[in-house]
Amino acid sequence: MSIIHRAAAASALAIFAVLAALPAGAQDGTIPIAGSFDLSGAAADVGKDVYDGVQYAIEEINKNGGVLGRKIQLTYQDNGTVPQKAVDQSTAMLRDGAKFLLSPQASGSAIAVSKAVSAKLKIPTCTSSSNSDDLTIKDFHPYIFMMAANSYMEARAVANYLSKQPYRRYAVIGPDYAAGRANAARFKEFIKEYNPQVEIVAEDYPKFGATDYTATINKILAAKPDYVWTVLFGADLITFSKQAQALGFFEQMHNHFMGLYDSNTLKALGPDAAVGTDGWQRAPAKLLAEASPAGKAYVEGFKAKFGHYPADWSTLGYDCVSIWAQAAEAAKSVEPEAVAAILGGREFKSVRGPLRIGKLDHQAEAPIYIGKVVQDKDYGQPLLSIQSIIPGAEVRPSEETLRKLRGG
Amino acid sequence: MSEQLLFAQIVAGVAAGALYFLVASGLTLLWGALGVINLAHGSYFMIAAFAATTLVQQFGPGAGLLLALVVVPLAIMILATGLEMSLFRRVYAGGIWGQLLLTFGLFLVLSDLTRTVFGALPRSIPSPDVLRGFVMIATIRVAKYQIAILVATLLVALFLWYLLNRSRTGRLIRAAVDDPAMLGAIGVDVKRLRTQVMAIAACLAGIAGVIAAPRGSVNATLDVQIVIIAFAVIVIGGLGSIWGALVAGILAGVAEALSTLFIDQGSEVVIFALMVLVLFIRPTGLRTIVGRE
Repeated sequence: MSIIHRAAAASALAIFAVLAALPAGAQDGTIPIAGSFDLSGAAADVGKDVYDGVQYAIEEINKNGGVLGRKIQLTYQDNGTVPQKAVDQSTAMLRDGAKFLLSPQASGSAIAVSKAVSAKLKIPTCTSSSNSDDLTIKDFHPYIFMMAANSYMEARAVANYLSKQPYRRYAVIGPDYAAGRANAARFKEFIKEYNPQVEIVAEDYPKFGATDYTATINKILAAKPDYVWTVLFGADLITFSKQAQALGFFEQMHNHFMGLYDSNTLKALGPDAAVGTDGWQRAPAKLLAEASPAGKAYVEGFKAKFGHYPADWSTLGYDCVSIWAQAAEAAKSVEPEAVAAILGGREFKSVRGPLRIGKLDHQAEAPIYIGKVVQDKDYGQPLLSIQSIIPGAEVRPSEETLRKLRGG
Repeated sequence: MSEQLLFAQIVAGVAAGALYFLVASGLTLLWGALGVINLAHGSYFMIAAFAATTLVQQFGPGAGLLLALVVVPLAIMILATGLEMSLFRRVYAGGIWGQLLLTFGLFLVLSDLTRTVFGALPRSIPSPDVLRGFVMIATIRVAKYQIAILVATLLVALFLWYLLNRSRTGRLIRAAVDDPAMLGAIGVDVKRLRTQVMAIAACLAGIAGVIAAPRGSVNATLDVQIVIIAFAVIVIGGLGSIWGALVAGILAGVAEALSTLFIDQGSEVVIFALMVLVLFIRPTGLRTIVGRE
C-alpha cells in the first residue's frame, strides 16, 4: 500500500473513531435529551399524557429554531412503572450523552431516578406529574426541578382554602402507598394548623387500584363527617366516585367533598361525575386557554395535533421541556452544569403564566387551582370551574422550613 | 362500632366476594380439575371489561351491556380456545413450570395488546338506568347494581352446579378432580376436555369482566388486581371446588370489608392472612381434593 493510501486509511479510521466516541446527537448537531416514561403499568395513563406534552413541546421548539440554534432530539423508553427499570434505562440513556432527563411519572420511580441517577450523573432532571415533596425537600439536589406544586404546597393550599369554610369534622381517604399516605399526613397537619378546632373523625387508606370502595364509603358515612377530603386520583377516584354515587354518598354529604381531579378523570367519569363537589387541579386547560394568548395558542395547538384538549399531565410535561430550553438559552449552553446553575431563583415563561423556580429547592412556584365540578357545554365533559387560584409563592415552604425539614 | 355499620360491611363484603367468586370459579376448574395454571386468566377479565365499555359507548348502557353479556364471553371463549390449542398444548408435558412461563408471557403480551387496542386511559361506563341508585335493606343502603351482581353470581353458581352434576362434561371434570390419572387410562380424550374446561373458564372470566365494567374504572391494571385475589380465593376454597370457591370468595370479601372497622389500611392483606389461616387449619382448603398435589 502506498503512503498516500495508508494516510487516507488512517485519517478515515481516526474520523470514524472520533465520530463513534461522540455522543449521539452531536454527530448530526441535535441536542440529545432523554425520557423514561411510564407508558405501561400502573401509571400508563399519566405517562402517555406526559409523553404527548413533551413531544408537542419539542416540536414547537424545533419549529422555532431549536435551542441555541440546534434542534432537540428525544430518546425515550418505557419503564413499565417499575422503579428499577426506570433507573437502569435513565442511566443508560444519560451515559449515552443526553443533556437533560425527563423523570418517570410515578413517585416511586421519580425518587429512585433522582437519587440514583440524576444526582450521581449530574444531569438536569425535570419531574412533571410526580409531586412528592421528598424530591425537592428531603432528597433535593441541584439537578432536579419540579413543575407541579409539590405535595407540601398542595396540602397547604387546600387546607388554607378549607379552613375558611365552616367545617370541623373531617374524613380523609388516601391510597395506601407512600405518596398517598404522605399527602394525607400533610393535609391533616395543615388543616389542624389553620383551624385547631378541626377533628379527623375517620380515615381510610384502601389499596392502590382497589376494585371496591363500598366498605370505605360505609365507614366514612358512619363517622358523620362535615367534609370528606381525598387524595385518591385517576382510576381510583373514578371507581370511588362511581360507587359513591350509586350509594347516594355525595347527596348525603351535601357535596362536601374534595378530590384531586384532572381533566381526564372528569372526562372518564362523564355522567357519573359528582357535580357540585370541590376539587383541585394542576393545569386546567380551559382556564389556561382563557387566561393568556400563550395559553390559548398552546391549548388550541395541542388539540389540533392530538384531537383532544391537553390533560394536566401533558401541560406539565410541556412546561418541563419549555423551561429547560429557556434555561439553556439563558445559560447560553446545554451543558448540564450550566443549566443546573441557572435554574434556581429565575422566572420562566410557562403555559401557566410566569413561573419562578425556587433557589433552594428548584421547586416551581406553580399555582394550585381549586374549583367545583360542573358539566361544561363547551368542552362536552365535566370540568372544574375554577373559583380560587392559590399562588405557589404563598404556600411554598419557607427557607427556614426547608432547612428544618432537611434536618439542618 | 354500630350494628348498622357492621351489617352494612357484611353486605358490602358479600357483594365484593361475589365478584371474586366469578373470577375464581373458572380458575379453580382449570387448576383443580386439570392441573392447569393460567396466570393470564385475569387478562381475559380485563379484555372483557374493556370490550364491554366499547359496546356500551356504542349502544348505550342498557342495550350495550346486554349485548356485551352475550357477545363478549363468547369472544373470550374463542380467544382462549385458540390459545389453548396453539400454545398451552405444547407445554403440558413440561409440567407446571412450562405453564407458568407460558402464561406469564401471555399475561405480558395480552396486557400490551389491550393497551394498544383500547388505549392507556382508564374508562368508565354508566350502569343501565334501571340499575342506578340504591335500595334500602333494613337500615342500610345497597347499590342496585351490586344486587344485580349477586343475582348474576347465583345464576352462574347454579349453571356450574348443573354443568358439573348433570352433563357429561361435568362428570368428566369431576372425575378429573378425583383421579386425573385414571381419566386417560379409560379412554377419555383429555386433550379435548382441557380445551373445553379452558373455554368454560375463559367464558366465566368474560362474564365477570362484563359485569364488573360498570362498577368502577376499567383500566390496564385490572388483570393483576383481580387475578392475585382469585388465586387466594381458590386456595382458600380448595382446588377444583366450585362451592369452596363461592364460600371462599364471600369469606374473603367479608373479611376485607370488616377489617376496615379495625384498621385503616391493608384490607387486602386480610385476604392473604385468611388464606394462611385456612391452610394452617385445613391445608387443602375448605373442600378437599384427594390425590392432587
